[in-house]
Amino acid sequence: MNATALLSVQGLTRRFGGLTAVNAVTLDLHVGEVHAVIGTNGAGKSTLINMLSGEIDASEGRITLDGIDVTQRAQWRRARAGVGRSYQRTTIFPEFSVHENCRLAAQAATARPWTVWQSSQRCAASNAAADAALEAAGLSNEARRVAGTLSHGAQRQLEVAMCLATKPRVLLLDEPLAGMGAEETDRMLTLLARLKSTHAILLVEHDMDAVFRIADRITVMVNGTVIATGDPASIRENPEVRTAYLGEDH
Amino acid sequence: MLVVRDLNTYYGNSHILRGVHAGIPAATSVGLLGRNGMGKTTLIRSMMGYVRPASGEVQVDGRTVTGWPPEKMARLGIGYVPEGRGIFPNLSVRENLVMSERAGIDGHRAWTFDRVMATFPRLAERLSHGGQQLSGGEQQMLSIGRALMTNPRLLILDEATEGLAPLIVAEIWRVIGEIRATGIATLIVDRDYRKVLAHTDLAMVMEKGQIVRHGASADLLAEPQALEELLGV
Repeated sequence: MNATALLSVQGLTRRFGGLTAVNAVTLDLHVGEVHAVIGTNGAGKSTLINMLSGEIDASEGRITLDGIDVTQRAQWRRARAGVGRSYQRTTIFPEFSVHENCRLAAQAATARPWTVWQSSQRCAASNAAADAALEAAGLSNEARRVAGTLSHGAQRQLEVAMCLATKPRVLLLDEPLAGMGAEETDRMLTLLARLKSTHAILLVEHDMDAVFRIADRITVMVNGTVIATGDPASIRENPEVRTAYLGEDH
Repeated sequence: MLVVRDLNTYYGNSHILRGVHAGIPAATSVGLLGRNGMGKTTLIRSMMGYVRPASGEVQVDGRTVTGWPPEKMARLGIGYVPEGRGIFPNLSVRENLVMSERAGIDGHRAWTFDRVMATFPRLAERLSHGGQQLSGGEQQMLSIGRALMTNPRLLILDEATEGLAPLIVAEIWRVIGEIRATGIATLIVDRDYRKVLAHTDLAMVMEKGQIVRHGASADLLAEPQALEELLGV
């Protein structure tokens, strides 16, 4: 295990019946680094994220956060320990305001149970966390808007803001650029570049232009197995990666 | 073969399509470009009868078909590969294909089960798999294969490469090129504007519910300033 890694994964495996969806994956996430995980459709990338966030159990292997084994910890305990995630499909509450969406996420992350006689709207800690998250995600100007009326790109940004409202140190981002146009992609990449100085980021993404622009390290998965890990230049030149995933266009 | 005149479509109070005029000539590939939220998918859904336009006209071969339901549009020879694919998860690959098998409007059967298999060898290896057991790329191939089984004259592809691995994206574009070469008209929406312009004869660009630019795809490709202004690229 790398001593400086914030989140470290060793030999992580998940079987579904006879199918090994993720097979002995080992990787480290560091603050200051965007670690992209790329790979064919069905390679096990989302299953890997689900194991890291605690939504599904690992069949084998170990996950450590700050050197502490969290492999058996429930999802909510990992979230409180600083593991945040976003989803492939947008999971906002469309009828609530942008700020309310973030406040709800923040409330869920507060360890203190909410007092029944205080309106959640006046919970200072949650409001402050929501404000900070919106600021970081570049959505402060949209705080009062009904979330469902935001553009697709802004909804994806809100998804990241909700993740930030839980004050994570690790960000697990599952295809945050899906369905985004050129300008929205640009905005999101600028946001991620800013966030990486204070967060360890795992990015699952198919937009190769974006991945090669922002990733510091890339891991390539095929059929559940890691076939290569390295800096973007070495991954781009790797013949096995070109054959299995990238093809000739990148 | 398909013409749209002064089409206006609303979602609730939101005026999405604002007097759209557009046309797709027979055996011609047309690219539909524009930023997110400009009305591309709404235009397609209004043409295909999923949404009823408030005013305006959709014509196929000079016949007014505004508001016809999707199944009747399909019988006119218009195949639709929607964003999100819409395959039947509980049917096998073979069942998904065979259920949509139909002769073309003039009785031809250029696209058969065997030809779809030859075009998508990956599907041939997964015939008995259920739709939900397929990877994203395989689902997309199945969705295109299923549309081809209806022997369409026009195939509409909305974000067919969304969320797919680069190698699969390349394969989808190869197939789109193959379909175009057979003389089927295509209407293509995709975020990769370069690929769209390379695979089409004509291009239309939408902005705020209107077609603000149309012409030869090659001409638009040669105008970086217009592309930046209209698409932000």
